Amino acid sequence: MLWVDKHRPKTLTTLDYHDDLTKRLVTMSSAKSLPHLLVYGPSGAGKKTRIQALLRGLYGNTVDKLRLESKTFTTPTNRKVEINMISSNSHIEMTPSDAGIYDRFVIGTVLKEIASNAPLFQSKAGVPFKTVVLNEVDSLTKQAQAGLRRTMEKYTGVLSSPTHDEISSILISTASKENLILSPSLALSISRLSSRNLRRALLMLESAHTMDPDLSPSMQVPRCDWEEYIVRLASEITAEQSPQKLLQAREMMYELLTNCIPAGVIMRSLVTELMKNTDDSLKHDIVRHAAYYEARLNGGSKEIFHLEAFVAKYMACYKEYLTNLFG
Amino acid sequence: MGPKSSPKIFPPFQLEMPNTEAMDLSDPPSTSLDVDSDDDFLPSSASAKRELPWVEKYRPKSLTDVAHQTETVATLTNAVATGNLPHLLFYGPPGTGKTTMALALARTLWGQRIFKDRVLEMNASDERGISIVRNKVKNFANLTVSKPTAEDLKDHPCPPFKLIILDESDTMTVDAQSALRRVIESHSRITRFCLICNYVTRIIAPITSRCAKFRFQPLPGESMKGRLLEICSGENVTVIPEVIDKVISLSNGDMRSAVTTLQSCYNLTSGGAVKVSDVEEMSGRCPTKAVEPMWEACKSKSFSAMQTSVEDLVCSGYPGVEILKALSSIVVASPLLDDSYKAKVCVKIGRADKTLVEGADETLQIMDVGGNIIKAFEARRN
Repeated sequence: MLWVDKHRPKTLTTLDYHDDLTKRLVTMSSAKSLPHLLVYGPSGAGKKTRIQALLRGLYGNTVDKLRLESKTFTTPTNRKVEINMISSNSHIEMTPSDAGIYDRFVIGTVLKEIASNAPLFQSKAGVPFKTVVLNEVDSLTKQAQAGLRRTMEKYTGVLSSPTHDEISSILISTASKENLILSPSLALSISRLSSRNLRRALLMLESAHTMDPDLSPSMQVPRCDWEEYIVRLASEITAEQSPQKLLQAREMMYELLTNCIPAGVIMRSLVTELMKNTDDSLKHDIVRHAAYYEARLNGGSKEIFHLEAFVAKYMACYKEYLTNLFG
Repeated sequence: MGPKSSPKIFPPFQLEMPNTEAMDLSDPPSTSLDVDSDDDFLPSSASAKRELPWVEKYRPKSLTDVAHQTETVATLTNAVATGNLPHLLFYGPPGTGKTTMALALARTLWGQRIFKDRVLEMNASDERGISIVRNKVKNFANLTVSKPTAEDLKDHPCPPFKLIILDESDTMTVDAQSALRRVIESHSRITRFCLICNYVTRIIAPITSRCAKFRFQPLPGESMKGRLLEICSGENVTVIPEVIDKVISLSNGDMRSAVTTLQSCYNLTSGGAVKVSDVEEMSGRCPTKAVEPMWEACKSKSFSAMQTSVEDLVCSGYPGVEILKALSSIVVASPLLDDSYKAKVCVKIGRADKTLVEGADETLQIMDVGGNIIKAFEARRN
């Protein structure tokens, strides 16, 4: 079992950081009344973990008896939509945006059906309602979100990413649970590389452990293969600007794309990498072009075009900068 | 007992279209109106009452109770008195009382007893494609109205027509709206339509020209304050005036969001004293304070400092659009930049906002805006 799952806090009381929010969740679960919740924040900040802990606080162990259901619905236009739902006796979890453009139908029909039925089993804890967990609501279409509108009045909770200190202390405590000693300096460097994403930090810790079982403080923290690859790509296009290099860069980006690295992630990491060693005067141009092409990336259908356009633009900017500098 | 007894008294009208009538009584929209039946049927247990959100519990029941929209209220009261009601189109930002006004109007016209027979309410959560307009709406519009009993006539004018409330009608497709055109006209003898929407521009012109238009304005602070205090006293809650003021300023004239914020603050402090900071956090807005480090970094004209501050800002979990809002308020208020530079930065913020809504990466967009602010500062010096 991965350390991320193994050491995931199970109850509200064992959650680390964001104590104010945790306190509120404890109040809710002990009062057995729950407003509609909207939880948002960057990935790896602990959204899911908190909700799971909250459900466990509300319903007790019944939430752990999960079953996977796949239901097929027929839309008014006679299309079959299949949705996977994970459910226990007291809660149902689904990702309605899986239904693509039919998400409005899912929200309108399916949720209404679920919401109007009373829970099948009265839980021992005596909670008179069931909970529907909707994942990735931000990728729902506008119409589907409008459909949710009048049915709920919500409470929002912002989850910020844990700070580097918080991540390091969690890494150290996790390591000690595995009977390992993690030096604070190594913990901090893992945390920096994880860009404040706790999930990624824990995964990195585990892979570091497989490389060096003793976790010596001086060890090089392993980065993912694709990250190394992007670092190489960045240095290649900085070293030489020519049509040949562009072709080579295209091949490298294809390689990344075929390995299922999302184009947005490639763009982000590439920009971060390119900005590391450049002059401040050039940085704004890089960001400007990156922001422009990243936005187009989402609108277009062929990702490689926009990535390549950005690389070409970067080459042009860099070349111009060099010519201005050295004449 | 009320709604069920009327069909028995007037069987002839039922015989005309028994199927559609049955369908309309059992359809989902009618359940959303059940909240209103509290007048006649008090909830059996106190807990049921408690769990009702304050927005529903304190929704104004009669036309004169609706806050602030005095002109609309005056016009509609007049229409009720004369029994001469045009088709209605309510538009305005969320939380200004449009749905409340429509429901209150229906209640004033017919009273609780025959309310359900005379009103069909549909909102965005109901299927409203062209087929629904052709079948359900048309069938309901077709139905002959039942004759009100003497009892009903005692308290309410009970004019001889039905009302179809199409809530959030700006989400209806253009096709469905076009299908409505003729329906509105040909059934106007026995049916009135009330369309409710946020953006009147999304309703096609042939429909708007058939309706009397009412614009709902965002509520000013005083009227909201009065209402919130009423709710507080009704719930036996004591809240300090600063909290009320904060709730009002954050809501931007949206009564519903104000009441919801107030209730969630109260619930989460579980009856304790609500603090101003609670309100800020609950509303999910990005406080200007959070953006200040970025502004300072921009002022220092160091791109790398700005980059770090933006990364921290995005990691703090505030949504990008909210960050831009807070940033723009700082930019506009700042005495350090000339108007022409401010305008340039604002254009950039506007573009970034658009791309963010379309799903672009937050860090890159906000960093780009930051870069532009730095440029503005640099240009100012020269």
